[in-house]
Formats: sequence, C-alpha cells, structure tokens
Amino acid sequence: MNRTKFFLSKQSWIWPYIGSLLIYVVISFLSEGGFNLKTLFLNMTLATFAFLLGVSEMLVITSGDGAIDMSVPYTVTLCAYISAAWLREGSVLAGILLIIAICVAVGLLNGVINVYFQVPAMIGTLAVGYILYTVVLEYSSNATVQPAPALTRFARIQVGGFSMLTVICIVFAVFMYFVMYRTKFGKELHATGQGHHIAYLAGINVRAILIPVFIASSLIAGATGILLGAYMNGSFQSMGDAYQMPAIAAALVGGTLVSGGKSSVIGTFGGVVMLTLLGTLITITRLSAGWRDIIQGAVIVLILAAAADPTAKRS
Amino acid sequence: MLDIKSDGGNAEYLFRLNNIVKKFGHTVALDHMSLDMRAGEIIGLIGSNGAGKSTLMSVLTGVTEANEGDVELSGNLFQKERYSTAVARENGIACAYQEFSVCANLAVYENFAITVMDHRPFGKIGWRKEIAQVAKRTLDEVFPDSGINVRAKVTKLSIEQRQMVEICCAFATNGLKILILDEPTSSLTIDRITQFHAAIRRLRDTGVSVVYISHKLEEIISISTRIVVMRNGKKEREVLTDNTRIDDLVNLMGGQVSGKVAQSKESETTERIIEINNFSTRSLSNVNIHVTRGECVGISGLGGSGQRELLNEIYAAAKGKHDKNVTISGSAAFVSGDRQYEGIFKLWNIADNIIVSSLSKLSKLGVINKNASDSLAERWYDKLKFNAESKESIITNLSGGNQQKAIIGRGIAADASLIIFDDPTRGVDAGTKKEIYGILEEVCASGKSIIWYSTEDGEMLECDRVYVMKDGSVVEELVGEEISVENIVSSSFKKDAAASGGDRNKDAALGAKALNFFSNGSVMSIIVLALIWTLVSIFNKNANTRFGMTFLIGTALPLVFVAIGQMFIIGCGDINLGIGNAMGLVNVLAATVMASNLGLGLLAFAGFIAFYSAVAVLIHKRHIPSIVASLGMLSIWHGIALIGLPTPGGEAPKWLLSVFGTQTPLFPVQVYMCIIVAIISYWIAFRSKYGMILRGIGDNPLAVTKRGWSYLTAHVVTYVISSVFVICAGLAMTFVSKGADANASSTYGMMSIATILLGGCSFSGGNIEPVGVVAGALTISLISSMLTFMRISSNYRTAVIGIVLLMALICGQLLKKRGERA
Amino acid sequence: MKRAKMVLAVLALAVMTVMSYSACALAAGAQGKGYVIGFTDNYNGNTLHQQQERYFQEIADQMKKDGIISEYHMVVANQDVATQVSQIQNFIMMGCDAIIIDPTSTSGLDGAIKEAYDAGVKVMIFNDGPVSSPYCYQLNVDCVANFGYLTEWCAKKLGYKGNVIVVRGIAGTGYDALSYKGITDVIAKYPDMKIVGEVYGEWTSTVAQAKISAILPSLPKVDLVCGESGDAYGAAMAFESAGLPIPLIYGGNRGEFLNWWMKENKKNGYETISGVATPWFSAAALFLTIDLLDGVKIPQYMYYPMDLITQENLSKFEGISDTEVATSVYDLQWVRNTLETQDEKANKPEMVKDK
Repeated sequence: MNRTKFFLSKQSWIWPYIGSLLIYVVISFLSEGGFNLKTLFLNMTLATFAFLLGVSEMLVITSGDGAIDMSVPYTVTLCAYISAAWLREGSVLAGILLIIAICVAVGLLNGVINVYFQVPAMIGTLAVGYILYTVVLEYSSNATVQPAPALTRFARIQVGGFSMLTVICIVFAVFMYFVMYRTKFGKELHATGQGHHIAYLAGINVRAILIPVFIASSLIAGATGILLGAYMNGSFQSMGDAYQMPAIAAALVGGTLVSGGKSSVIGTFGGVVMLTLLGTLITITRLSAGWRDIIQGAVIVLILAAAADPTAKRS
Repeated sequence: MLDIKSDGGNAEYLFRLNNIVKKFGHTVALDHMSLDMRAGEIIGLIGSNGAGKSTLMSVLTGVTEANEGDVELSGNLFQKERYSTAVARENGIACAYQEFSVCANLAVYENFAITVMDHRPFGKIGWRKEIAQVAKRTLDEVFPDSGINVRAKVTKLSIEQRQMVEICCAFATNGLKILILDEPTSSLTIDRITQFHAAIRRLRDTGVSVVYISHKLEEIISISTRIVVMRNGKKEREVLTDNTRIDDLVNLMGGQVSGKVAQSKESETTERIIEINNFSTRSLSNVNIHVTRGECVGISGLGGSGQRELLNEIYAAAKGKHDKNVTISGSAAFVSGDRQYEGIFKLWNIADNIIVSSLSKLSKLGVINKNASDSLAERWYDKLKFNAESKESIITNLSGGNQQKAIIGRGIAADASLIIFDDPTRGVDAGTKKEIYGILEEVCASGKSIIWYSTEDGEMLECDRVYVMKDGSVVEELVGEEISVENIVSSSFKKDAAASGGDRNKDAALGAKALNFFSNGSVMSIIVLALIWTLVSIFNKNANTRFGMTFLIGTALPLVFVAIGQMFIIGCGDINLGIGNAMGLVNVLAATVMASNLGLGLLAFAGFIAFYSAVAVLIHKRHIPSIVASLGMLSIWHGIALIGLPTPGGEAPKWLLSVFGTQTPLFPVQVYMCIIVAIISYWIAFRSKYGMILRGIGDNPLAVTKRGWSYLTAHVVTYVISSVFVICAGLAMTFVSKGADANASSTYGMMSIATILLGGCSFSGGNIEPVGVVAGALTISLISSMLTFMRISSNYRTAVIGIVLLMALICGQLLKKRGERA
Repeated sequence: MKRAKMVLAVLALAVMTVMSYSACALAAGAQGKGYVIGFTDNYNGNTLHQQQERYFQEIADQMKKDGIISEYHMVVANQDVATQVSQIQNFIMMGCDAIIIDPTSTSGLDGAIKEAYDAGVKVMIFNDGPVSSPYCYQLNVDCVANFGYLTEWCAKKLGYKGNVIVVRGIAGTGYDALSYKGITDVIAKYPDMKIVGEVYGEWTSTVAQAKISAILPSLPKVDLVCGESGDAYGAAMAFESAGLPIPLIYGGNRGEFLNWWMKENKKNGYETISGVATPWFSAAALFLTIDLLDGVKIPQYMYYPMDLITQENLSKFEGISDTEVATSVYDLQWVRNTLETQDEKANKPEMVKDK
C-alpha cells in the first residue's frame, strides 16, 4: 500500500485520469441518451481549447518564481476578433502576420516587464491583460464578429471520426512533449524554474529562456483565439474569460508545480479532460447554478489534496 | 588521547539522548545514537558529512521527531511524541543554525523578540524598547564593537553580521541551559571568532553547556572540553580534548592528513584568461588581478571584503557584461558553496545536476542526445566517487559534501576555460575536502584556470598565487612559497590608505536617504493617489464637497477593506484568488440573513470566519499551494452565495445604514473609516507582538517555528484577521448596493492583488504596507470616476489601471535599485 | 377713452397671442430647455447593445441640435456593478438632470438610484431591468409574458408534447429569472412536455452553441429549444454540427437567425416564430425621460412591447445583415400613445421593494 502511495505521489499526472474515469462512469449512468463514445470525442473537441491554453500556462508556470500568465484570455479574445475581420479572402496572409505580430508584441512586453523590470509575472501580465482588454473593447464595438467561412469549415473537418481540433490537440501535445523533455530549451526551462539565480550560475541564459516562454504563451493564446472564433462561429468580449481559471487549474491538477521546475504535458491533458467532463456532468445533473460551482471548486481542491505529497516539507 | 568510557558517574546530566533512531525513507540518519552532557561542558561534535550531527541536534531541539529513543532533560524523561520545540525551549535549549534562521524582513531586535519573548499573543507596553536594549546588550557582550544597529532590518546586514545576529539570538534565550552552535563561524573572521570563543567561555562559567559542531578542527581543539566523533549515525569515539591533536581527529574521521606545503609553480604560458585593471564598482575599488592559463589563483582576506562581489563580476563579464577594465578570454563556469540557494536543482537527480551546464555540447540542433548525456553523467559519477545509491538518486537525499561534488562536477564538465569557485568546501567534511583539492589540481593540470575564494585560509596553500582582499581592494599578492596562513592573516589586517571611502559614504548617505524615502512603497502609493485626486478635482468641482467625497470614497470602501484582507494573506506567504467571491458571500449573508435577524446574521458570520480559516488548515496540513486552494474556493464561495440568493435582492440592515450614515465633523464618515482601517492594520502588523510573528513567518517560516512558535496557529490567525476585513468589505458592499448580488464582487479578487502591489507590498510575502494599500485602493476606485469626468471613454478604465500599476511597480523597482547603488 | 381701451385690448390680445404661441411651442417641443442627460450602458459587446447605443445617439444628437438637450454623456459599465454605481454617482456630481441606465444588476444599483432620487435627479431604467429600487422609472421587457407567449406558440405547434432544452442567460440576473419563469410555467401546464436539458447561454449565440453541443450526445431526441433571445442561432448550429435533426427553435429577431430561418424554410419548409423587445427601446427611454423632465406624467412602470416575426412577415427581412437585430423604428408620438398610457400598477414588477 505504501508502495502504491509513493508511486502515485511521484507520478502525479495520474490523478486527473483517475478523476476523469470516475466522472465518465457517472455520466454514463445518468445520461438518458444511452452512453456512447461520442460524448468522449465531443468533449475532447471542446477540451482542445482548454488544453492549448493549459499548456501555455504550464509553460509559464514551469519557468518558476510563481509566474502565471494572466493576459492569456485577453489575447485569445483579441485574436479571435482580428481573425474574423482579417482572415478572409484576399487578406489571409496579412491577417496571420498581424496576429503573429500582436502575439509576439504582447509576449515580449510580458517578458520585458518581468525580466528587466523585475515585476512579478502574475501582476505584470495582469496589467498587460488589462491594457489588452481596453483594446478588445475598443476594437469590438466596431468589428465584424463572424469568422471567414473557410476558417469555419476548417475547424469543422472530421478526420476519421476525430474532429480536426482533436487532431490539432494531439499533434500539439506530441510537439510540446518533445520540446519540454527532449530539447536543450526544455531542460533549461526546467532548470530555470527551480531557481533563476541557480540557473544563471549554472550557465543558463535565463533571459533567453523567460522571454521566449512568454512569447510562446501569447502565440499559443493567439492560435487558440483563431480556432475558438472559427469553431464558435463568432467572437464576443468575454470569450477568453471562461478559460482563464480552467487553464491554470488543468495545469496544476495535472502535476505542474506552481513553484516551477516541474511540468507534465500528459497531466495537463488529463486535467483538461477531467474538468471538461466535470462540466458536462454537472450540466446533465441539472443542479442549480450554485451547486455546480461548489462541486467544481471542491473537485479541484480534492484532487490536489489527494495528489499532494504529504511528506513534502513546506519550503 | 584519553578515551572516555561510558560511565555510571553521579554527576547530574543536563541532557541525555538515549538510543535515538531516525530514518528518512530508507536512509538511516541516526542509528541508536546516544549522547549526554553535564553542566559546564563544551562538547565538540565532529564527523564527516552525513554522520548525523545536525540531525541529532534537531532531535534535541525538537525540530525533528525521532523514530525511536527518548530525550531526558535534567532527569525528566520525555517520550518522543511529547517532545517539541516548545518543550525544548522551556527547558532552556537554544540553537544557532548553520542555515541562518533569521527573518530578513524584520529588524534585528525583532528577531531577538521572536527568540526571547513568551508566546502570549500580546506583549506588555513598551516591550519594543525593552527588547531593543536586550539585543544591544547581548551583541555588545558577545561581539564588542559589532557596529550593528539593532533597529536595522536584517536584509541590510552583511553575511558576517547576520551570523553574529544568529549567534546572539541564541545567546539571549531566557533560562539558557544548553546552547547548540552548528557551524557558527562559517562566515566569521578571525577577530570575531576570538571574541566569540571568549564569550562561550564566559557562558560556560555561568553554568551553561555548549555543543559546538564544526568542521574547523583547530577551533574544536581550542574551545571544547570533550570531543565526540560521529560516523554513519553512530558514536565512533569520545575523547577528552586535552592531549588530542588535529591529526588524530582527522584520522578518526577517516581522512588522511595531507602534508602539503605550498610550492612554486612556473607559469607555462603568459596567456591571460582574466585581466582586470583598476576596476571599481559599488563594493570594489581599483582592483587589479590577472589569471593566466592553467593557474590556480586564490582569493582570501577577511569576510565581506568584496571577494564574492569580485567573483560575481568576473562571471558576469564572462557571460557578456561589458566593462572596459575587465577582460575575460573564453568561457567560465561557476561553482557555488551556497548549495541551498545557489547550487543544487532540488527536484532533479545527480545526473541532471551534473549535465545541466553541458547541454550545448550534448545537443544537436537543440535536441538532447540521451546517450551522450547518460555517459557524461556516468563518467563524472564514477570519477567523483559519490556516496549515494546511483546517479539517479534525487540530490536532496545526499549529504552536503556529496551535493557539492555534484556542483563541482557540473562546473568541470561544462568544459569552460575558467572555473570560479565560491567557498566550495563550506560545511564539507575533511575527507571530501581532500578529494576536492585533488580534483582541482587535475583541473589546473589539464589547462583550465581556477579562481577560488575560500574562508578557510589553510586551503589557500593549494593555490599557485593568492590575492588578499580588504575593504574592496586587493592589498597583497602572495606568490608560491609566500603563501602561508600567517602571511594571509597579517595581510588581511594590513592598514592602508583606503580611508577616502568615508566621506563619499556620507554624501551618498543623504542621497540614499531620500531615495529610501521614496522607494518606500507607501510613499509612492500616496503620491499617485494625490495625483489622481488632483485630476479628479480639476475636472469636477464637486469632488471636494462633502457629498462628492461621500460618493467617491464610499464606493472605494469595499476595495479598501478587501485589499487589506488580501494584504495579510499575501504577507504570510499565501494568496487568495477567491477573496472577491468570499466578499460576495458576506454581501449575500448581510443582505438576507442579517437584514432579517441580527443574531442569526452574527452566527452566519462566525460560520464564515470558521470556514475561511479552515482553508488555512487545509493548506497547511495537506501542503496544497494556496493558489490552488483559493482557485477551488473561488467557485465554492460563489456557489454558496448563489444558493443563498439565486437572484439579486435583499436589503441592507438598518443598523448598517445608520453606521454609514453617521454625521461626522469636517469629512464624511467614509474618510474616517479609511483612516481607521489604515491605523488598525498598521497597528496589527507593526506594533503588535503577534503581528511581528506573522510578518516573520511570511519571510522565513522555519526561523520562527524553530523558536517554538506554531506555524499552524500563525497561519490560522492570519486568515482569521483577513476574514474580519473581508466581512467589513462585504458589509461596505451591502451598503453601496443596498442589497446583494452574488456576481457583483467577482472582480475584486484580482483587483485586490493589483491594489496591494500598487500599495508597495511585495508579492512573495513578508512586506506589508497598510497605508500604501489603502491609498492604492482609493486610487484604483477613483480611476473610473476620473475618466467619466474627463469625458474619456469608459473602455479605457482597465488600461489606465494597468498602466498606473505598471508605472508604479517599475518606478518602485528603479528607485530601489538606485538606492542600493548609492 | 374708448380709443385707449381699444388700443389696450388689441395690445393685450397681441401679448396673449405671443405668449400662448410660445407656450404652445414650449409644450409642443420643449424648446431650449437644455437638459443634461447621462446614459450608462451595461455593456456593448453584442450587436443588440451596439444598435441601441446607435439609436440613442441618433435621437440625442438631434435633440442637441434642437436645444432640448444641452449635453449628454454616454458611458459603458462593461458588466461591472461597482463601475456602474460609480458612473451614476459621477453623473449626479456632473449635474445631470436625468440618468438613463441599462442596469448591470437587479439590486446592486439600488443605493445609487436612491442617491440620485435624493439629489432630485430623475432615473430611467430600460432593457436589462427590472431593478428592485422603487425610486426610478422602469421601461422593462415583460419577460414572463413574452417568452411564455413564444413557448405557448411552439407548444401548440408540437401538439403539446415533446422534449425541451431551456437555454438560459446569466445565472443570478433578474432577466434570466423572469424569462425562465415564463418558459417553465408554460411547459409545466402540459404533462407530455418535459425539460431534458438546461444550459446557460449568456444570451450569446456562440456560448449557447458550445454549451448545448456539450450535452447533446447524452440527451434523447430534442423537439423544442426555448431560449431567452440572442441564443437561437447558436442552438441551431449546435444541432447542425452534431448532425442531429433540428428541433423547433423560436428566435430573437437576430439577423443571423432570420437568414438561417429563411434558408431552412426554402430547403424543407421549416416554420417557426421569433420575437424580442428590440433595441429601439433606448430611444424610447430617451423620449420618455425628456417628457418626464418636462413635467409630463408618465407611468412609473412600463413594458416595451415585443416585435413579433412570423412566417407571414418573415420575407420583409430579406437581406438583413447577420449582425443586425430586426427592429421596428418608431417615433415620439408612438411613445406617447403606446408607452405613456400604460397602467403602472399592473406593470409593477414583483421584485420592486417598498419605499
């Protein structure tokens, strides 16, 4: 029994999968439509967005120092609006370049504020996010909201039963796994997360790690915005808001250490699946809105309480 | 050597540790270890790394609970479960730790207070002055002419001064009977060490006994009456100090005595790896040094003379920092002796710790070659002869010496032409030290250069050349046979004409004072508030009327209260993302339950406080990061509020209306409320005794708990204080909206965090600024009105908040940096 | 003497004529009063709100030209209650004569509204009400009646049986609570009709689509979707993407839904109904406010009628842009005839507190 406990605490990515399985079983009991795999795949499709953003948060959190990127939801919303206006026949290339430029600028701003002005990332990105929100508000009062039809079609393609989004999700997951655990950048990122000064003394150029991380986070957010706008067939001002907390929660539930230096791509994916299934379960049970919130919050806390290593000393 | 046989003597024992067993996982740290001590003894406790000395002492101080065995103090037997830091403290046990346990954000005398005062929550009137006097007295007794201002914050002290504070805190313990000193002189220079030993002897004469742990064998011989040698968790030998020589001890611990004498080495090349001419910075003046290829150069001198700064500048230069006076050819690697904070990657194993600096040569096109990195790790694992299970062992399971080997391996494996060593043998046992010297010799022989700072003068004999530093400059260069401990010591005390620094300091002091004033977070915040208020007044003449102020400040009150609530939580090192929704719940409770029945309402509030504080227990016991717990609680608070009030409604209780409607002279009651909040939270944080404990815990929880205070209690108390302010926030919200809305308060979560940072608190805890936070809350609340009055689109509200926040934070950082440089 | 009396009489007549002329002019159009009006909108992130702001500005600009209004201020609260409270107070401090509010909260503004009332400033609420404050005028939407009507129409078309999904708005708002009541009261009347799913669509197409898609696979066959306007198109898309047959959905007069309805009708004769209180109510609120300031007695509680689009008049809206809300534009006379003649006691919302 001790062996199992030890194993589970070391492989903390397993917990969200256990949770997912349990919720899955409960859904199948409760659903009147009879249970089918379609539920699973559909949830995977919707979970794509949460996964993409969960990974961007995972990247930033892993870089250490308690960093979290709070500007992500605003980047998502802004890029969704811009993609609707620009990614139409004739200006596709310009639109993509514009979105990339914006994401790089936001990420660069986040990075510079954190690295050169030593502002804690959570608050620096929050401030940048606030500024972005104003841009969103100003832009959206005059913007077209429907995305280009081509984009919508792209988002709806089915590949052998899997939606295009699930495919993107899996490809992205494999790519991120590779980057995080097989490349020099990934190794140095994990070193930086364990202590910026320690990494500096070990020869790592910490600035060259942190700034790209923020840029990567914003780029992922931008891509998510494009896909989200396409899938939802339109944008709205609070689009990204719903994903902020679930993205962070998924990363943490999946085994990423909030103090940095440890991450888990597989775990983040599991966390996202679990949270999405949980959302579906709660909707099906038709509990009042209040109970939905309580259950959602309690599950997050419980999973983390179970996964936490009780022998870990408080640092 | 005279062996001591375990005796049945009748002399009274101060303490006896009987058959202590302590395991960490599979590792047996203490294996039926027994130790006893009588009054008036000074025991020198020695042993190689991993022998168990620190663990044994942590059992004695109650920090660690033994698996088996018991502790006996003056004849009273304690079972291991009943023994704790509080019990140890009551029985007069105090310890000065190897890893300093002082709270950097508190004043020197406040650290004394934590050590010395009783654990009742409130102190007598005037306790601060009293403790400050005790602190000064103790410092002067142990270290005459220490030059330490007891009211200064510890962060302003040098490492040597911090160790002095650490030691004196232990000395000052009430009813001190047993004093434990763990590597107490690691940062002290010879003159201080002499003072220190004199103080120990005086202490012994008063009947206090001392346990002195050190790797510096000369000190052990000099100060102790009895020497206990530990090895592998057991008592290896016990001897009386008289007639024991250093060589005997080294042999006992398993090391060979080296008969090394410094030798001249002809430099084979003249290619200079390091060329530094007339280099000056804030802490260095006119430094001239050079290092040629293949040389091993030592840096010595009294601690705090700028040696570390010099090494860091060399490393920075090698990493690309430009200065016309510094030239470094080739790459450099850095090996730090401060393993905990500058050395090891705690989450990784030995292999990863070794290869992390060599990733460039282990990867192609950015992808790491697994085989290459495995073989590199294996090579160094074998070469350095680690005392561990395998190279996959997690590095935190190793002893200090083995951890140091990993860092050294990392530095050498990186294949840099220059390796910088910053006191690498600190806290390392004699045997491992010898191995390290051998490695360094090999490294030089292979054509690499070494520059090496050590606090142990004897180590400098290993070098080809030694620079002795004093007060930021190089005062002597010893070559070859000139290198000896005597020469180093005499050079360290050389008087020279570096007195010109004095006047410069005075001018700098004035400028620094001004900078210091402005970089105080509260001041910045108040200035920003004044600016915004001026703008508002310019654009609307009603702002300074009574009814205008009632509006403007009235709607700011919820943010004021909730920001203070968040401030206490962040001050203790946590964060509460869900505080907005918690406030929303209070809003709902106030407008529903309390509006109809005051008694029931108070009960509901009591339940709220209990639940809110229960989160602290959860965080504490299950080690859940507070950010995660609060993320979950965010939803839970919201859910409860929705259940209580599914659609907005309710009404404000009558008594609440009259409180906020009180007619006060000169300014509306809302203004006075802000002032009162600021005063009360200031008092709690900075004038109350327990507030000092809370701030200490926010900076260094271990330091405070080691002195017997309960971390859990402090944690819960912080949350209780915070919950009271959250209740005030919810009530203020109820007044503003004359009703309740479960959704209306959600934005206050992130806004409260922005507010306290604007107010000048630090994000990581320990630094709280109540006045600044109140000002910050008013500022942020005014921005919306300011925009309306200026006819600027309300869409710009969040951008203005973001920009104001960024500017305030960046300015604060720049001012702080300037202040440090002055 | 007689001649003097004649001259006096003619003079008096002339003066009286001139005076009554100007009095008429005043009564007719309140010329030159120069009111200061403040307008705070809940948010302007969707087309309905953007459209209502446009209508408001059109009328307000015209009134400015005519001298009726000297100045107006338009701000957006971006769904933040504290901000809107602050904006109301700001308007009082800026000397506004009246404040028009599209509220962010049912009861969160009560304090600020009372403060306006105490300061003698008139307050008019419209669209996202009702609010619980008794100190203001309310131009509400009769959600219970409107959505009850639409649900009843659909129930009849289905023969009073079938499975229903209810798409709600944002939890905790009065608009959502009342709309939900209207819908569920009707469904409760018919034992063969059952609610099988409930989601919060936040009155936004895209959100509704996502939320419905998430639960569709676990539901039995759905026959009817009852929404709270703004979500109908999203509901249709959810079924389309899932490849399921599209149930009966009533619309909220959004262009995207109407266009889709026209297409579906041509394709397979899909028939439904659509109705919503349209964005012109912002202009109506402004007209009402001016009359109120002029001293005209208007009812304290009014309902803005629903624009109904049926299969018969659907073709009128051919060519409507996807992002527009189909709106009937009226004028001042209509406001006076239709709104100012309503019965305030009958219209008083339940949630309004006592003074």
